[in-house]
Amino acid sequence: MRSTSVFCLICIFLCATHSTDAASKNDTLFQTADSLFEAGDYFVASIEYERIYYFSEDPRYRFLANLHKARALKQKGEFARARNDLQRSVTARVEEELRFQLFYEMAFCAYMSGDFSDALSLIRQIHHYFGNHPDIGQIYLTQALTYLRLESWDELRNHAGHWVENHEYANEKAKELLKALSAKIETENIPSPTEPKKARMWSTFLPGSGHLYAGEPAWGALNAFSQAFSLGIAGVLIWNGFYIAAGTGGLGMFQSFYFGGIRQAGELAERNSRSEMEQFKNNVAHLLFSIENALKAR
Amino acid sequence: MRLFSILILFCFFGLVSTDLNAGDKTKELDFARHLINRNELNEALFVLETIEPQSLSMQDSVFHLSGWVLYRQMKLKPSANLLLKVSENSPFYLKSRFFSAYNFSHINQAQKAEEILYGLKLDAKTMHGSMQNFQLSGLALLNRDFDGFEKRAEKFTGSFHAFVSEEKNMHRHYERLTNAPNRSPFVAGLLSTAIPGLGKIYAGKTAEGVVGFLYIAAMGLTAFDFYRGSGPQSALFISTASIAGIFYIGNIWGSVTTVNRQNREFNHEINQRILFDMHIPLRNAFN
Repeated sequence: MRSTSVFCLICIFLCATHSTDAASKNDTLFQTADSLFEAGDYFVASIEYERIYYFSEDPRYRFLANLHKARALKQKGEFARARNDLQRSVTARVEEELRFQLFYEMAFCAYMSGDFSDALSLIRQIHHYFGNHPDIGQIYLTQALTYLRLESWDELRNHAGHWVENHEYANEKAKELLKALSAKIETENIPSPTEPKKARMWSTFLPGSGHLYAGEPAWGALNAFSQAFSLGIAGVLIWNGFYIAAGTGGLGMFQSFYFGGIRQAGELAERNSRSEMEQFKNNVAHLLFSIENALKAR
Repeated sequence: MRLFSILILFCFFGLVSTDLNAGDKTKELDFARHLINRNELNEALFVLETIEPQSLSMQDSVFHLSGWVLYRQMKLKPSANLLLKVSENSPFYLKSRFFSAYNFSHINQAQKAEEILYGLKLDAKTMHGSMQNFQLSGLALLNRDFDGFEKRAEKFTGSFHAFVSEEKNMHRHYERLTNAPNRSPFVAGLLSTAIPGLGKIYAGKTAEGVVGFLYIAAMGLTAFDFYRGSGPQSALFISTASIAGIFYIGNIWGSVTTVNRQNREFNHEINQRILFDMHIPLRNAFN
């Protein structure tokens, strides 16, 4: 009788263990992955989250695993991959809070991966689906930065105004920064791009002027001097009766400087235009971060 | 009775746990396949490395999948070595052998590739048998063994969709190789000595040859102009003539190296085409 009891008890114990396992399985599902994430081993953590996503049959756990995996990928700087992975959960039926997090992460990853049009599209979806969400303010900075990268100056101006003025903790500092931002992105303050075509045209008719237009007067002066010098050599050689040498040496050198100068003026115009705009955008981005900090400081 | 019950339980538990363990490994393989399908190759490799195979078939699967991941990552040598470890009983055996041979072909180890392909005992009338012959014909071309290619090409059937057009391409590569002009660096040097730039035109670089000729002619004429006006002792003549001479010798040397470079480029280009045409049938047949 006792043996039978022992047998039954063992069976119960085994069954209980299994059922306890089943119950606690979901609670401990993320333990390994989370601890790896916290330890900074994002590569293995991302595999463990993917494992949960693959093996779990519970849509909520799959959703969470995908979201956590994206966070691990973000830590690795793989934003484009995180953005693509998150797309898998778009149709999942979970509570609104989680869906908001998903869209927020997708917009953020799209922005960080440099796909600003996609980021803007996702931000618009967030406003459409979660317009009344209490944490909607989280997206405002990313939205402003997206407008900035897309050079949508009017939208940026309107959005920044809306962001600060309607903020719960709008303060004087934030308002001052908003004024500075609005002044900074006035049309006349936005750097107008220097056109490579125009720079080349200037250099074609007046050596060195294309460089000047591109914002490189020193290179312009050097190029103009080089052309004048090579023409001078050609003149001296002709004066001394070295006609062939004047043609091959002096004029040969002149044509190299002349055509090289035209090409260089175009390249400098393109490069400087890009770097000037980049610098301007970085300054504006700095202002946007300052606004965010001011709003957080309350 | 009590002891007996416990013994039965232990046996039962042992069997269940072994079975669970094997099941877990199979699941891990499925997971690795899932990662490969998602193109998460580093992650798949990591998972595969952690699997301790419980059976020969599982071991074969691990070797095959690991080799496949490394192949996708273009790590061809380790891929080839892993694929070679797949045993003959595995359903992945043929695929692994063919891809292993292909990997060796790609890393200039044609002899090793031939050994693998010759080791396959296949009926010549089947698709795999014909593919074996086709791959060997590609290897013969890579080795520039034209007699070997002709013998293999006679057995081309043209009846397997997976590589019917590639068989035709192999014939084209053969014709290109056999009709390719055999340019000599020595002749190119001689031609450029006679007329600067002519060696480069002979090597197939017409634009380089014409530009080279114009440069040297301009320099020569400049030196001549200074010679005519200032005499042979003048610094202007000596300096321009020296520069012209350096360019002249440089042009001869350039013509010699151009022929070698041209030959190298031609061989590289045609080898890439051959390897490409060897590769397509494998992907068609095994994927």
